[in-house]
Amino acid sequence: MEPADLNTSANTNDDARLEALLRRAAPELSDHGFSARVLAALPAVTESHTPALSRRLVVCIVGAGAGCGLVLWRGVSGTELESGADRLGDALVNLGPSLADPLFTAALGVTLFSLVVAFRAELRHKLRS
Amino acid sequence: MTDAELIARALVTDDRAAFGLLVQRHQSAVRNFLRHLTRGDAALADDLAQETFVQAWRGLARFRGEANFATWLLGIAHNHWRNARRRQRNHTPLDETRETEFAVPATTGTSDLQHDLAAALRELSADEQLALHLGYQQGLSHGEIAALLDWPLGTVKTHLARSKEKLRHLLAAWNPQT
Repeated sequence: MEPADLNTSANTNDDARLEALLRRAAPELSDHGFSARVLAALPAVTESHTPALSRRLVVCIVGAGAGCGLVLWRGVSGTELESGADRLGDALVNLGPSLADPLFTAALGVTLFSLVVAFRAELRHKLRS
Repeated sequence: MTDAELIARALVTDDRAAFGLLVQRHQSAVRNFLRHLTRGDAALADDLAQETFVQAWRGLARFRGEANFATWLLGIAHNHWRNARRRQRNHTPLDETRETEFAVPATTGTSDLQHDLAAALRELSADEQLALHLGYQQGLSHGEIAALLDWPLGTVKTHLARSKEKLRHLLAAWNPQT
């Protein structure tokens, strides 16, 4: 019997045959209770599925702290801070009439509706639990 | 039901049954991969596979769907195996050059070809065997293998091409058609 040289003319066929052999070499493992063991080992509460509120709070506090630190470090004077606060106050006062604008109210309604639609599954889950 | 639908159910309603279906669907691939990495140590592989799925459950929200879910699971499994190996290395020194076990089913052990193939596969380096396992037994694309193992794409292609070349050479004496 003349051995086939897999590097010669039948290279493509041999390559396909080799690949088929390699694919066939994977046995399908039956479950044998493996899935049940995994489910039994799952943690009781899936706390990590949604980011914990405390984690969000920590991030906010760290961010706010970093911002305040930066302001103090850059040597912003008290009067500058006061004028900034005044400007913010004025802006909030001016916001009142804008809120009364029906167009603004409609825009706000559309935004709210979109958020409810986007997170309806989570909201339903929260309401149920 | 698709993987994506089951993942959504597990995420939104903490549906363990949905996650159980995902485990059933992917347990064979993950356990096979870990058996390959642990050189056929079925008990260790199953322990690592269990840890893999528990970790997947915990981190399900981080699965963004950019990768195939099966590939994502294999990535977690690979990390668990690396950690286990690191822990083991601290206790008993491991031979880094030792080859991994390439899964060949016992039912085909009687076949001369399968026997020769298994022997030929053992001649390959661990990385070449790993690339072949992921490419052919797990059906991953070159890009997926590169992402999973954090290898450059060129390295994956080189390992696959070189290992097939070696196998062709090692199996040159085998001719099923004569």
